[in-house]
Amino acid sequence: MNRRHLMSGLASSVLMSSFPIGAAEQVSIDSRYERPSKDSDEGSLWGYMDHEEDKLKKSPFLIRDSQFKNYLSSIACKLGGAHCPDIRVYPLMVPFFNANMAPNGMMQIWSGLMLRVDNEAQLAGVLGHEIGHYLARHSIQHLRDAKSRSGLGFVTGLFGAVGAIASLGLAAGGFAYSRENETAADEIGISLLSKAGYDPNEFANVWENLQIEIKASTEGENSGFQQLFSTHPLPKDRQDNLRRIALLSPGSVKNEELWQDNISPYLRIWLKDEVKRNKFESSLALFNRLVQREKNKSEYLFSRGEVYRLRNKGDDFQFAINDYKAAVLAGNEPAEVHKGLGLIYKSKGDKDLAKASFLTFLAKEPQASDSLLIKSYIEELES
Amino acid sequence: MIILNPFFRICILFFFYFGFSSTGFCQSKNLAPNFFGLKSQSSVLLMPIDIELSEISLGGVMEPKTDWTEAASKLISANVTSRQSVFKVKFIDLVDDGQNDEVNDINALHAAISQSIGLHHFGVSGNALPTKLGNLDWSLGEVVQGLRGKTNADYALFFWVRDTYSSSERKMATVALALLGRSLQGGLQVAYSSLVDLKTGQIVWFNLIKKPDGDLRNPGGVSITLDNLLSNFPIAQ
Amino acid sequence: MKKLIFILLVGLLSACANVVKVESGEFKVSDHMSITLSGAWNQLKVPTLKPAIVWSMEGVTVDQLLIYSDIKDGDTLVPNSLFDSEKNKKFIFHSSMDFSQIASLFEAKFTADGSIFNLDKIEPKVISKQKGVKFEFSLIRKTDNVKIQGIAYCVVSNNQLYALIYQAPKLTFFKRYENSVENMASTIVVR
Repeated sequence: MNRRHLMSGLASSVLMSSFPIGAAEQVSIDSRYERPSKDSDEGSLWGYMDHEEDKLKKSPFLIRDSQFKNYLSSIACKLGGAHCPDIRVYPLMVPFFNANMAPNGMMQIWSGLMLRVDNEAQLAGVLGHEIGHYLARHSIQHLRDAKSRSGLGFVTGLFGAVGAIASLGLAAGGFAYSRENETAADEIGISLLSKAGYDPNEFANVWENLQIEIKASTEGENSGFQQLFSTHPLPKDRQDNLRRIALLSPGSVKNEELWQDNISPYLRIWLKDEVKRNKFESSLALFNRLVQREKNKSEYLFSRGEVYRLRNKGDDFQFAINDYKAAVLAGNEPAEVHKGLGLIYKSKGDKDLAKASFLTFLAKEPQASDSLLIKSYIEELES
Repeated sequence: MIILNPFFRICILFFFYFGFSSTGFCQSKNLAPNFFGLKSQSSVLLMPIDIELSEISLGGVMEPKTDWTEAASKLISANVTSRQSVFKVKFIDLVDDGQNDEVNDINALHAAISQSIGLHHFGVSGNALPTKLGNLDWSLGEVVQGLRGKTNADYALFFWVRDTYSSSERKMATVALALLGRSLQGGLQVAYSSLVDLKTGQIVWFNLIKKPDGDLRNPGGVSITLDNLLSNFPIAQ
Repeated sequence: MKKLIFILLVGLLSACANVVKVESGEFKVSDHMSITLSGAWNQLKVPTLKPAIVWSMEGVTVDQLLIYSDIKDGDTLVPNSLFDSEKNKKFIFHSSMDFSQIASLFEAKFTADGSIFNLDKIEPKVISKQKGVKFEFSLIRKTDNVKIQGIAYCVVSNNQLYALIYQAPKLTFFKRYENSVENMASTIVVR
């Protein structure tokens, strides 16, 4: 499924002329697409995607909060212009960096992406890129190329499967458009971003941030995540291209606060899902960046502390203690900070400190699912 | 109710001579113990059909075909409903938009149970579950009573169908390979159907098809398949 | 994934799988572990679930009782053959794990296929006169979206893991066999 398809530039050249480099004002968003007939291969793909969308609606991964969904839809709409009514947004609790848009208008946005973007403009950049693929109908083109070789298997990898992320070893939607199509989608995306008033530089920032995590991840950790990223590779020339186009395109909105407000109900659970991936090196790289960005956010400090505690190499326990304590100082810390402290102190044999931490945890969260277990630790420490 | 066909007469004789205490000995494999048929004009709820038709490409990749699936689902519903008078039942359609959690959960549960019945009750004898004593003895439990409450139906009829068809390229390859003395697996069809008593959740009748039957992409094929699948439907005597 | 289960089952239907009856009474799981049953169960041969012993009352796609014994430090909870190399092995038990980590280990195994797991409750439990743990969990099974409820009993003895884990659909089946499983868990003897 991880197919880097290197085509000649011919196919996209016609397309590129509609979206000249650096001339964002000349982007025109055509009228909406009509549903293709069922007999065509495009129609068959739409039909398949409609079927996948039905399954997605029932998926336990789907975030059903209509207020949040409407907020995300409003961003997609600002970008999509006349196509707005055709874009249907599905935010999913999937701890990998991904968003993609199927040719029938179904747009998935994964929580791993939403955790990583710093502001609304960055999310809009990624969505704009995906809308770019949709507007330019890249998936149909690729379907026609791929079908003769291997059937529609790639479609599942590309769009279908929330299940594709399942096994940690599988690519999260590992599928590559051609380099030319990726460039085209970049350029359309930045046009849309700029036209909607967002700061187009933010799109390049998304990828730079992600690169930091990729570099940090070990060989053993790169499954799924790395493969996903490799579908949107970032060679130097692409990064340069993004920066260059952005320079020529107006727009300044970032909406950092608005973004943080809207995701705040989900932040803790997304962070927890990230820690659960057990990809210590890349998680640390991510959390280091988040802590750097917002030095006094207890959730980020706590999450980094958790990773140190679980990794438990060298001085990790001390790093974890430092982070947990910083989280407490920052205020409004998750109750589990105290459980984490308790577990470390218990490991080190610091009985009094352990007991005190556990008691604090239980006071803050008496109904915790592991409250009885923690109580038994306290009894052990007392005896 | 005593059924006096020859098979049952022999069973009754065995029962008296050999004192078998389980009615399972004489009971059809497709029927729950102590169930011998519907009462005439029982109301039967038609559950949303759990069906997926796919095409297998040359490379062996299965591609679900939504249009085939939707068409087949409608054909099956229509065909089943048309058997109403022959089956001496009243079919009730469940109005369902696919988003009802209760219906989806029950359908999913039924699918899981069907697979176990197919494997352990209708599979090779080495797969049988000894604790079931050879009986068709599975129940969805009281959770189905909500359906009875909503529809007043006595029973619910479930279908689970997975069907694959070889693409024309694959068919051609199959012919070519056959000439070389090798084979490619063709299309597969697995279909389960069960009748559930909505008072208790007991699966009172179950049947399955394990090999290619009718082509579900057309009405004739649906008829052939359902003639087979419903051949031993427990019609009221 | 639905496709896989369907193909797997069609395959199994024609294979000669083995199911044997496990009678009431004491059952020797291994040299170091035994349990006592007060009613018969069915033991299934399911190679993909090794090293666990697999029991079921309603069938492999409905409910499963997994029994783990003599799992040493460094052993994995799934067949070794699933990994192409030593360093890619996953779901490894370490004797230094605390009970939360053991629960997380099972969570990782059960969610490997994309199923969603929630730890509902975890508490200490005396098992075979030793300090063990009992945890309750819910799963949404990825293959078919069935909502599953589960209960697990684990103990580490002589640095080896012993566990009894039961999973069944939340609707109807878990409640049906919950008591039987709890009774069985109370009879675990680990030497």
